[in-house]
Amino acid sequence: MIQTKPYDFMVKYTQQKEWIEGRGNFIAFAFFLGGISGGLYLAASYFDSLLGQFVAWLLALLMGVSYMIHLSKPFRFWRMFMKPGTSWIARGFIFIMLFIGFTFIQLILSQWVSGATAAITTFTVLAGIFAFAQSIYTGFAVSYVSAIKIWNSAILPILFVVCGITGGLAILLAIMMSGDHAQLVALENVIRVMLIAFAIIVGVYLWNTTYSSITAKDSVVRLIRGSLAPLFWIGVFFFGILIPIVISVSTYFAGEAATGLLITAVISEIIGGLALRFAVLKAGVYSPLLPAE
Amino acid sequence: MRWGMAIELKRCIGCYECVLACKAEHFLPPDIFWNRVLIGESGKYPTVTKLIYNVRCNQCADPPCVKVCPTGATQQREDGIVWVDEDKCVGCRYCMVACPYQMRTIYEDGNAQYFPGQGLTEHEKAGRELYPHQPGVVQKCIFCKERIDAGLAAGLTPGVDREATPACVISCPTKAMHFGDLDDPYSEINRIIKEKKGHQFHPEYGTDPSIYYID
Amino acid sequence: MTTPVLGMSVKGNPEIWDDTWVKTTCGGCYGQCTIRAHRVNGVIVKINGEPDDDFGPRGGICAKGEAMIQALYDPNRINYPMRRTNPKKGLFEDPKWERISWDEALDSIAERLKKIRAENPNKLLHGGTPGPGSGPDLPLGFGVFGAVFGTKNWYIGGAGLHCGSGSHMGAGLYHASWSIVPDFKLCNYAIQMGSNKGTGSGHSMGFNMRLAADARSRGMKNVVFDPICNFGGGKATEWIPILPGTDGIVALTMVNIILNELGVYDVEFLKMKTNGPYLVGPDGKYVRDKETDKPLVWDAKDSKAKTFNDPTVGDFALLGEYEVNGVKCRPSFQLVKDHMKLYTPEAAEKESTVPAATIRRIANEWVDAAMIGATIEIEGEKLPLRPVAAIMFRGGQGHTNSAHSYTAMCLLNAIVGAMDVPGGTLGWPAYVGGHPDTGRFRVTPYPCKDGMLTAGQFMEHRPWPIEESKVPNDFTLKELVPTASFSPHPVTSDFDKYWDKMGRPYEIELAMIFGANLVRSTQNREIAEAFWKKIPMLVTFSILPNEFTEGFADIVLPDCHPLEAYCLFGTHGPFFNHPIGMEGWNFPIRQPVVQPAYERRNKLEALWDLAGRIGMRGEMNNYYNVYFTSFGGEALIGGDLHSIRGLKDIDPKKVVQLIGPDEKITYDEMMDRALKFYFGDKNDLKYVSEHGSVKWPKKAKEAYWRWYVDVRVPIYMEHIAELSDEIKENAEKAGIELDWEQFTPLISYFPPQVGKEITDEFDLYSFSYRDILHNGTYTMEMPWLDEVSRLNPYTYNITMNTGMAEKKGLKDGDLICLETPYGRKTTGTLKTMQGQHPQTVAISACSGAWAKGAPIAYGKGTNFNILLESDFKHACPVSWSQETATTVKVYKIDHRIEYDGAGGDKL
Repeated sequence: MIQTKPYDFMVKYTQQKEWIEGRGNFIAFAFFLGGISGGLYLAASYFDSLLGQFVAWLLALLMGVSYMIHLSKPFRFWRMFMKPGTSWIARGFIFIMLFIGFTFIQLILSQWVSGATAAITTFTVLAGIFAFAQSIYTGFAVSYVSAIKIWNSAILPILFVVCGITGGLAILLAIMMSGDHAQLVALENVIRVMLIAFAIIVGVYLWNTTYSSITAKDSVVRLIRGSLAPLFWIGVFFFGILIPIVISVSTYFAGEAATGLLITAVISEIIGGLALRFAVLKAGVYSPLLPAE
Repeated sequence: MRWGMAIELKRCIGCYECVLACKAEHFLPPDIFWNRVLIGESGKYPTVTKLIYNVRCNQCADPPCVKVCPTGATQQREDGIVWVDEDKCVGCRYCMVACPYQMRTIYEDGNAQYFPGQGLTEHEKAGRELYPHQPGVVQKCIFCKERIDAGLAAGLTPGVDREATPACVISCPTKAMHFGDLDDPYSEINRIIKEKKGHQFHPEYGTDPSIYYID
Repeated sequence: MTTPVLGMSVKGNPEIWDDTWVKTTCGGCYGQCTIRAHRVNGVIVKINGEPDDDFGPRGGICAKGEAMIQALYDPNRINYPMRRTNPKKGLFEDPKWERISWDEALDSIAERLKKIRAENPNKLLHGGTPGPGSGPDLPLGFGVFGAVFGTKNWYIGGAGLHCGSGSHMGAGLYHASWSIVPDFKLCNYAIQMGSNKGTGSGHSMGFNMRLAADARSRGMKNVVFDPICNFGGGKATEWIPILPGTDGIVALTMVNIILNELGVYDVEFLKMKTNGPYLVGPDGKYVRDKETDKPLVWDAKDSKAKTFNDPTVGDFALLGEYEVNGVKCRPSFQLVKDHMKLYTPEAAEKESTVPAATIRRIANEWVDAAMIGATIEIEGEKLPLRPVAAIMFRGGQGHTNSAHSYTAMCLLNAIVGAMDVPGGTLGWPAYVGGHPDTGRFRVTPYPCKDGMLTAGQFMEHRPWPIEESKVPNDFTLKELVPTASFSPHPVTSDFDKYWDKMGRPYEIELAMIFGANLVRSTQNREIAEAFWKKIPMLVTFSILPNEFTEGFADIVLPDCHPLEAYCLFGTHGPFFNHPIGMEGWNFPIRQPVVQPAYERRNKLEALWDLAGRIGMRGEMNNYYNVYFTSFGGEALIGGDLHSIRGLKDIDPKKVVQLIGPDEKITYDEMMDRALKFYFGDKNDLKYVSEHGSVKWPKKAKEAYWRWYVDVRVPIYMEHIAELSDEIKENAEKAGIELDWEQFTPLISYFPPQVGKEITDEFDLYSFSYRDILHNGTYTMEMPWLDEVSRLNPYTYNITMNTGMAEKKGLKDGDLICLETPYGRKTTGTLKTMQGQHPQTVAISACSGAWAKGAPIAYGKGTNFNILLESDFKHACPVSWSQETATTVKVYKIDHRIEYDGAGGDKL
């Protein structure tokens, strides 16, 4: 819970709370689901896993539900496509609708009209484009807020999409666990690379952000050793980076991977992805209005 | 025509009437504020100054909230006033997050009572007739646009004639607040801002607020 | 689409069948600013300031005024007379109210009143500190009732906790007024000590807010000495931290620097307007003319002694030593000037922690700014211009050195002649020339037999002619010390000791209190509990339940809220809260904006009904005739309630019969007659209700009357020398010991009792101060005010200096306990500040409610008054103002112990 005293509102650094407290939890959850559903679809499409694509579609539906819970007037949601010219949420709404639509068609075709390869490919590509768009747009929506310095970073959309893809890959790993061994090894290698990339991006993001403004530095300090440190170090670092990397490195050298370890890695990765969204949203801090301090 | 405000900080004593005048004028529900008084300190003992700032939506000329609203519920009038169409707002709160000044608020609990558990007072009931608020939508200062519109229709001048001027401005006991047309180079408000060197809050956000503060 | 409605925000198209603005006065605090209340469809929805007159902020209003709406419609309002069925009384007792009829209530009170009046009317105790804007009913209601009934026992509660007995005594002596304020329009340099003029609550905050803001904008320097940088300090051009209770020594040091180092002072003012030239003998008293008994002065021109009012005096000597009738004597100014040498900046620094260099600099700057000798022309009148003011109010004199601290401040003004002249220190209006048409409501100060300034209207403290000290026969014990303003007795821990010694002449059998909370707004609720528990019958007129009514009242009568009541004028008199300086004369009325709902009744009409039941109504009617006549007619020398009490000096032929002895009129009827009497037939109630008030312009000689009236003020308190022997003698009979050292005619510095109680363990001073959001104890119950209080860093918290808090291992948000050497404890949440003296702990307003009938206020903020003691040891011996600061030790605590047993939510 946000602990600021009511009289410190915009007098001291003020954490954003509309996208993290109460109802706001669901938008963080929705961002996460958007990331992994997009990432999973892309990974599943690359590795030809129909089940993976289907799970991605289900996750997208779940994401829609999560968004609806976040809205206080959910039945008006149909209005949300009105302003794609300037609003990232409007754009995101469109991307999600198109992704769900194209994926639905592609799944139907793949399952029951498997002969229509051209059509399937078209829709897969279309769905893939919007899968990526749906995965990355939340990063843009968040970084558009120039008043929150830790969010207003070029790295953020990349961080979100890489996290989403890593999470999607992890879920795909769980889905394909009992499948083709060669595919599994290829997948594991991709995951290794993505994990390392993810770790580097997180590190660069946090370090570099401290240079952009003192408000950003305040946000980073909260994450590293302030009130959000447990969430960051345990959720993001331990579960999201350390455990998966340790497991993936050890399995690289061991050759065969025990199912249990892989499942642990997958779950850990998912927790880490979720924790990352929460950490970034919770760390959003506004500069005070008062000139002092 | 672009409405703006200038606030003389030296005159303000932090009496909170601007906050309550607005609450009374619009029958705002419990814990909902369309403007606030922020209190702080500057300096170290014994050379200390008390800071008192009355803040509200800055009715920015280039408002981020209007841009990020996905439904178009948040919109800007010709005269610069940014307002929310209650019937279109979905409650996504992107505008609240995007506002660099944090001057927007959401009315959640439609059943909130000022005297919890004791029912609505006559005053609260009157409010539901005269100025009802839809729960679940975002609200904020609207420069009392109803007063301005009614005043202009009756041939009055906002900022000069009390009935046509925002409630907070006319209620200030130290006359710390001024209201007028920023687009009129000869208006009183422009003269005050120029003469007394009014400044905007955080101009680096690039939103071009319509409220100027004078030390 | 919404159809716009002018002057109001409306959404949708609601049906509006009533859209009325009513001119009346605010009841948020004693200020009584003029307002326009907006009633829509029978409900009051908005309070705006009245833009067209000077009695207030001219169109603005403060938050307390706006929030009145919520007090009016509070569902916890008292709507019917109630009787207590729980026989137990105590701080946390549930009264278990039973509703009764008005007849039953008044009859049971009348029964007791009749018995008391037959035995000894002094057995009735009445009073109460004017609560939610009910102040104007003070003289007209309980004042008259008690005077006619014949009781001496009027207990105001608080004894200076609210403003200060030192201030009222001093302002009465020096300005014929209630308090002092800078002439904001023209002042260039103001010094404030423990005063929030223009930024706090109080008896004239409305126009002071407006005028002070103009002054700040114009560039007036405002140096504020205060332990905390919040309200007064927050708008200062320079905030100077100071230890509580030490303001007096800083003021006297400045006088010393000005008189003895710089040698600059307003010679003419001292000669003509003070008792500076009066010769003082070795006994400390005036040397008097053998025949006329008038004090003597030395005429330097003719080199002989003459009476002070001798028209042939050529030049009043201020300095030197002379021999008159074989007695060596000096002008009192010489004595004062020499005496000031005791107060050096270094000594002052040691006592107050204000750096010596700062005191010197301020004194220099101030006297430079005083422009001694300058003049200004205002509306054709040539007047002295002294654009400096030195102001003290509650905080500066709320200590056992109250009288001397306050008079020290007045001395500072006197030596540069900045008293009731343009730019200088003004008392609230003491000179009313009278209505231009009728000449009535004329109030003029006049000189007493020794030439000293005497107020032409009722003052709580009336210094001239000096009353005799008596062995007290009243529960307030005030008859002992004539210089006392308000007394803490009988609600003290030592009262019984003295009353026993005097043989317990009688006991209080009935107490009638209105608009007050005498266990939370006065010092020490435990001492209060012990007293109020013993009163056999307590009746209160209240609008909301509070700790006092719940714990102790036997009968509660439902009073009208200011928005549903009539009230004649907004004030006890111009000297109390009328606009200062050249602001126009303004007599606003209060009228109901909505009719009182349920069985609420205007307390005055209830009192008249009661008077009727004990056969006293005719006497009251006659009393009102005298009261009104004397404020505007020739029945008395001045409209002095005190002499009215005796009813002996009035020439009955000169009393105008406004109300016949047998008439049973309503309050508004009385207002109509009074208004016509004062201001002419045109200004009847109907006319004034439409216009809100009776106004006319003020003349310069009224605003700046000092040089138009032949009066002097005492820079040397000779009357104290005259009184002290008598007082000591009578005190002995009552077994009362006072700090006799302070009964000296020379204005001096005495360390406050609080300073004497500092030890290593109890190492911090704690004090409270007024908050702009609150007045009395009822404002925390208004949800709007409660909401914004929670948004303010200081209002509901206990504040300490950041460095000191760190030293003690405390941080923001900790629940802390303050404990005094007497074991009193109070708790609250800590907020640290840079802007606070490190040796102090501060609590704003008087929060910490525990009444079950005030659910919004319950548990919010901290009750400071729990920490105070109430006895002679903690009172100023001369003015009887209470010591309002304590020493404390501070430590963390796990829950709010002062709520143990209160029966509400666990805190």
